[in-house]
Amino acid sequence: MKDEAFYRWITFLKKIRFGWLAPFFLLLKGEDPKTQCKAIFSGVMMPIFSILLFLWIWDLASKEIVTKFGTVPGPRQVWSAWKSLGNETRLERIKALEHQHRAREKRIVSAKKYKEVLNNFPGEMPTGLLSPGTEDALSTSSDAFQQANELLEVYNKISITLSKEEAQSVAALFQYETSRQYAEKVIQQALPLEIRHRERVEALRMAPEWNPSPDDPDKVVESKSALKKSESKKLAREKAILLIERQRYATEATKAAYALITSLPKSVRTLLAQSDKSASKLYPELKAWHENLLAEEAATGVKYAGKVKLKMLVKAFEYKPYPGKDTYFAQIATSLKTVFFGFCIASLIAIPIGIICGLSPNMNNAINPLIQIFKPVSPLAWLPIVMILVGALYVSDDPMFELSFLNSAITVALCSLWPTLVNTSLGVSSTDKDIMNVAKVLKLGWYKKVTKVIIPSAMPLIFTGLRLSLGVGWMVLIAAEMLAQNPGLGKFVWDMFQNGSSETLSMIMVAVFTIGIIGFMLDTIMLSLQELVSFD
Amino acid sequence: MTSIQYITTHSNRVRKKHKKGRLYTLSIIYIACLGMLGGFTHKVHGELLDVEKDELTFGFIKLTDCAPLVIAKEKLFFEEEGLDVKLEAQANWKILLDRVISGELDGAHMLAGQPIGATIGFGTQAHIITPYSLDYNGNGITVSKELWERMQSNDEALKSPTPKHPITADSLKPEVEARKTKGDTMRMGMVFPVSTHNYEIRYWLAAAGIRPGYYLDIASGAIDTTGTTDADVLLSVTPPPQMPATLEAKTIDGYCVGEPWNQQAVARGIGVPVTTNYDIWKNNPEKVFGVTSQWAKENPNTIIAITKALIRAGMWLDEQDSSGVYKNRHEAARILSRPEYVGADYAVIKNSMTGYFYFQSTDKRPMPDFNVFFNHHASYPWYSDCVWFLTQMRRWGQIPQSKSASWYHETAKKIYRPDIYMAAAKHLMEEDYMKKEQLPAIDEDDTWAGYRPPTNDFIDGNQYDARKPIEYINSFKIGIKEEIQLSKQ
Repeated sequence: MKDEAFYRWITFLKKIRFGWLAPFFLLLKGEDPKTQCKAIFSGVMMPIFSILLFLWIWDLASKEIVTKFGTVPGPRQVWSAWKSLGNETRLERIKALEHQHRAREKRIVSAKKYKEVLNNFPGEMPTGLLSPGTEDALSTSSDAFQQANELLEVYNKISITLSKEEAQSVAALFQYETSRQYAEKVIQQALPLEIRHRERVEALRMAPEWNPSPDDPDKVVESKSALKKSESKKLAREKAILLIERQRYATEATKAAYALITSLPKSVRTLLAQSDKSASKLYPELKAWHENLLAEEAATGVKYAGKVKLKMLVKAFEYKPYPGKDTYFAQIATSLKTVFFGFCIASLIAIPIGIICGLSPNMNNAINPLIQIFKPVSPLAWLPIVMILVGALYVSDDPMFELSFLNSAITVALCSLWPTLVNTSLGVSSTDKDIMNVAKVLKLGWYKKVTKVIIPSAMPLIFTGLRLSLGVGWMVLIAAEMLAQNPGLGKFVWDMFQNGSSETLSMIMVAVFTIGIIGFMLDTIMLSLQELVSFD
Repeated sequence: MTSIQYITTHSNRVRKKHKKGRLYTLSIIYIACLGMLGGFTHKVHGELLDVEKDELTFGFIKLTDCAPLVIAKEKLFFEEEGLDVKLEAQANWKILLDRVISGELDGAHMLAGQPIGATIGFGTQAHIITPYSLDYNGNGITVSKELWERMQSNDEALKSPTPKHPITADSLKPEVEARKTKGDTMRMGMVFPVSTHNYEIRYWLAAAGIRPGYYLDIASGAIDTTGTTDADVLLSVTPPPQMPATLEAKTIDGYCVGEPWNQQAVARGIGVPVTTNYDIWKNNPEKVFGVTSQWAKENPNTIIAITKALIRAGMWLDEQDSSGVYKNRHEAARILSRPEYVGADYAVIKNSMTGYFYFQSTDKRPMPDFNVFFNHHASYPWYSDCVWFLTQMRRWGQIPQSKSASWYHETAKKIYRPDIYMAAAKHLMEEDYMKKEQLPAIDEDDTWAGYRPPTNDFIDGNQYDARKPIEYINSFKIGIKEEIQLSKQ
């Protein structure tokens, strides 16, 4: 019995594409070690080996190819770029916390400033405008923010200073012990690299070969190309190392800053949380009060003075999220949301039409030319049409979806419709004749026949279609987002390309890997679903 | 109803609602009256404007002259006006404009010609206004290495690591003609049909007698949207970030673009900037902040609050120390180099932002006024700047029909809105952020208030008097000519 459960588990693993884990389990179970080791070797070691080989070749090649942006980023640079994206997310979080902090300050100032105004209005004044102790807590957290900002500033300032002396004087500038210590550390470890690099660049620029006299053009060309060969590679490599190193320090600085802000004493944190809570409770009360007043004013015609001030107070208590940039992870989430939305639209259209086509050869012949014509159309051709149509038809004052989101989702839908449609119709039309005969004998109604016999038997092919559709959709999405300005991965790639900085290439490579890995995961999920619905 | 009756009925209502004593009601009315009186004398100092919309999204293109928007956000000037602003990089100028018109963006960093082109219906039609001019100058014309060598062989004086400036297109002309006899027309890139770059590169070429092509066939009246009718040099649209790559691919022989894309050509060793637009026209308008007129109508206080924040950002960017060095430009360059803003390397952005420009890797020159954000009244929306763009649009046939002089002035007043700028400045002066000297001296009663005085700070020395647009259009050797009686209409 137990064995049966175990083997069912193994089959399940294989179905959800984790079959490579099976040999390990089998080995634990005590099956023939030789066969299992062979399986592990071919199922696990080989892929790992090929990945390592790929990384090694990439690393070697990247050092040799110098573009006008610097060297082609190797695996290490791409990894450091990936970390820098995490770093940016952390920075955004710090900024959001600061925004929240300023909102608290604003509330206290407004509450003090407008207390008098409040007294002049009719009705019960809301209590708890100022929670006791909040002000002290705020000043403590202000300190933390200031300290954290100093840490970030240390990093920024030092990374553009030119000499060690200058760096040391910058370090002395800082008020807090933490930032001074950090500055010392950066000076000791990262700065020499930076300065050495700068000196080299400067020396090269000053070298007579770099700025030769224009009288002897032949010599210019000769010496320059010689120098280029020997030096530009070296320089590019140096710069690449520098970038990695700098990234490491930037990451460390943000980590430390974030830790400072979040490590406030517990009492302070509770107080601040309390103040936020009471503010969020107070807001609807204040708002209702303000609206009452306006209604009363409209009814009686008597105008209250200081109404604007009351409105300002209400505004100060309103919760508003930090209007920051979209972080990389938020962009990934947007892309996933868009592709799923588009995929759902496509499936909702394709499956019913596919079933109809599969059931009736006449319908199939009628629709087939349309499918064949529209199937090969590229997303880049659909997008402008979609943009114009959606822009004209989707007009609302309070839109539920962003236009850019709809544009990309509908483009995805248009392109990913076809595999599902074709496969569904194929699956339906190739339902086993015997089964159909059984359905006839049982005198099943049309609806029952479709839902109980045809769809279940077409399921594996429908899922094959869905899987292909999702793959197409994910591929199309990136192009659609680039043009439609939907804030997802496509826009990320486009923005990075437009930046044209020394990090451009490595950032785009990070995006390439992210797109690839997510695409792989989506495919795996669909494949396992497909396996799970097909009954063998 | 007498007033006493009114007050009594009103107080009854109030009493019913709040179930308070009569004394209380009376006191409310008393205080309300006092408050109203006080309202008239109350100084606005430190008081926020009652903004209609406080969550805003602005679009921008990755160019250093979006700096005022970025600084207003990062230095919290927007937030201090009670505005939560999100900045979103856009793929190109067309998408940016379309999204402002569709309402996805509340406002945007625009080419100075964009609000004008949109309002008069060249390209997409929409009434766009501009209360704030983001900057002056900031563009350059770059030619490829090969073309630069040809120019040098045509003019010995250019064969120096530091040739004399300004460099005109005179040395280019023989090359253009040589290409033409070979049956091949020279190609150059610009950013957008209504962009400053288009008019600047046209001005530069035409000043040397090279025809850049019309948007109109003068004889038949047929419209040519590509602007290449009768052209010696074909101008084509290329997005700024792709300029260096397109030049390198030899699709174009030169381009006119904003920073950092001229410096990048130098850094990558593929081109030579021959002139900046500071030499073509000293202190020429470049980018503006634009919103739709509808939006400005619906959000009258918000637009003033935005302008306030932008003025403060402009002032911050152009703050100088006693020796005239810009104090904050290094920090600005660092902020702009973040990937979500301009994103180019700090070292590249720093060059132009801190007042240096590399013409060749051997030729670094100080250009303190390369980017002007506030000084020389750069942020004030001058009517005369708008009229200049209109005259150039007419000169090259983007405006297909003849227009009277008064049309130029009326159109400028529809698009450029110094009234909003002045309202914002008034608030800032009351709040002590701004001094009266920082504003241009404008005499409201003057018919020509808001016009810059006539100037001949152009590369060809031609005088521009915005009050006489028809005469100005006729003063060019190359360009469409107008009937002179239009100037009286």
